[in-house]
Amino acid sequence: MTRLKGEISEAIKACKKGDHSAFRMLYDSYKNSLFAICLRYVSDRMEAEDMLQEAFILIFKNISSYDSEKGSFYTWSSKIVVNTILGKLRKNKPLLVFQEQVPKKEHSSVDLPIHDLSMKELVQQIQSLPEGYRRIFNMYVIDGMKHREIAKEMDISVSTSKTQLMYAKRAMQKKISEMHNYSQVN
Amino acid sequence: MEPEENKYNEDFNDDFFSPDDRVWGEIEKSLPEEKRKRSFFYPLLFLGAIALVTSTFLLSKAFFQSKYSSKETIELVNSSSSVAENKVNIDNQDNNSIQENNENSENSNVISNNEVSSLSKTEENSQSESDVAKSEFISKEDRNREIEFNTTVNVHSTKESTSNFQLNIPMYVDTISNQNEINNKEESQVNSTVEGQIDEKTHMNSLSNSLDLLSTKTLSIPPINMLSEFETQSDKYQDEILTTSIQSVNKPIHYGIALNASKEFYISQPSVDSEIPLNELLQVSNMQNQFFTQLQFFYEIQNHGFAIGLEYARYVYKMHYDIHLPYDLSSEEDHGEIHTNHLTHSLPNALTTLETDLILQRSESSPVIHNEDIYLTLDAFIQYQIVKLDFRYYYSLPIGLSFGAGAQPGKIFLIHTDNQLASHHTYVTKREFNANVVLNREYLVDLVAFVNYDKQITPNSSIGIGVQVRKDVLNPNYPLRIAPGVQLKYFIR
Repeated sequence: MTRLKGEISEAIKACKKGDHSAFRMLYDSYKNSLFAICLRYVSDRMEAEDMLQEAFILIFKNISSYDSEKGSFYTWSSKIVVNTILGKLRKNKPLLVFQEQVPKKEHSSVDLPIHDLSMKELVQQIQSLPEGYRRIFNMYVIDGMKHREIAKEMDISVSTSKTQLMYAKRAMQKKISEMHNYSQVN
Repeated sequence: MEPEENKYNEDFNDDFFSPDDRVWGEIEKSLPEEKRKRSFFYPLLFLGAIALVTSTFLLSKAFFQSKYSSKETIELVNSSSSVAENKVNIDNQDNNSIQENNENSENSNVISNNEVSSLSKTEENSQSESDVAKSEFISKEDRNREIEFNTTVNVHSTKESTSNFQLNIPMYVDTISNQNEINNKEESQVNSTVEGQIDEKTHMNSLSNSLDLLSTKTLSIPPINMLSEFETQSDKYQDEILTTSIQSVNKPIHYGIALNASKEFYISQPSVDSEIPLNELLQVSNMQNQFFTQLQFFYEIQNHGFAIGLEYARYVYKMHYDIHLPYDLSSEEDHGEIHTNHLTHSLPNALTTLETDLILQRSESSPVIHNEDIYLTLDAFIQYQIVKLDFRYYYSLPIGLSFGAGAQPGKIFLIHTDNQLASHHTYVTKREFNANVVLNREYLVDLVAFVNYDKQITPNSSIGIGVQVRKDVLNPNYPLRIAPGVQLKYFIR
């Protein structure tokens, strides 16, 4: 659903006043893009929906703290989504910890042919990675964190982060090439 | 929305990225109430809280009032007096009471020879609506016990006239001395209430029935002159409580010590949690099957047994890791001719984590490119011991089979570790390697189920074989283990 910037601004103001219809409008505008972040981290759709729900509740609860001068609503809300996901994963699996990064597109440029993939294909390929690889891959390649940050957040060494990323990239490369081979054969 | 965001959002115009409608439903439920509605919320909450506190107070008050309103009791008390007392008090509303106390009555071995020796009836023209008859029975017997009855019977007459009853009820209660088991059971208090509105005709019947009830309770106690027969032929008496008591005294009770030696087999090797980074490096892991010993103290009553004990076992765990490292030229330290790279890893396995500290080196002239794959192998050896408490319950069949279940909480102790790392790269070699072994968890709780077959070899000992199946409930990655073994038992009868 595409909306003008002015409409979003008005909706945010209305949300701050507790207007339920404005909450619904914001939800409709951003649900898909924010759900994609959840799907990148969690392969189970139901679990991803639960995380999206939790994130949206936090977004609406804290919407009064959003300042449009500091960034777009998408940037702000996606930060909350990622934080929610990592916080929940950390709670379930103690190895993972909170991270503050905002998705940065420029970090997507790695030695992987991911630009040839549609968004859906990319998310599906990431989902098919083993869970440990998926998180490192998301943090480093998609969310643009540095090894030092990942190591700190996950309580692992920088070497472990690098090694793990290498295995994750290899697995991703293998999956993408398999996908290309499959599509060429058919 | 900014143009970039619009484009970004268009990428997600696919049902794949569309969450279920229930998500919004749940979000909507948690949204704050709109402000005009919110103004009613807190006053309503406050009123509700007041109503809750008030109703709780009133209900609790009503409950305690009703609980302590009942007054009438019948008490049966055993003691060691030699006097039987019977007291009958009959009071009316005008405090015209007739009380008869029969004290120092003759000691007798007759069972419950209750009788109403005298009963007189007096009518008065009083306008009172109720009569109260209270009787108190105190019976004492000279064979280590005393039985005392305190009885209050309230009788409400619907007629205008008042009836007064004079009762004379001698009570002879025989007891069993030297039967502590039974005495303990009978040292009880019996409380009952007899209260109701009756007419004049049923007035007498009610009192008689109440007394019959008392005499029935007394009949359950066998007489002294039957003691010798009672001790030898307990089944002759039909009273269930007494019969059960006698039987339980005669039940066989065994205490003893059991020594068990078993060998444990893993159905499959314990796995590493797939979510732990670098879990894929662990290529081979082998927990070797080991002997363990158990020392148990057991207590058996007929077919049921309880055991508590200790278990000790030593284990050996071997691992092999295949490690591929991306060699990072940018993190090298330059030592002139030699360049080193310091790497640390946490390598997981099912039991521990190996905190490795590795320094790789290469000569300055060796052709190594950035992120080149360095192949290393690590062989680790861990020896550890487990000490467990053992709690179990079992049921024995007459044919010598017994089966049961239990729980075994325990602690793991590392004894010895050894780690060997080798580099398979032509130019990059190991300069220094240290590994610190950290237990993933120090405690475990095994649930155990077992079957044993025991054969008596002497009057006080038996030998048996059995199988235990164990599962660690604290670690889902640990598979079932089967442990066949032998068991020696020594009974202390």
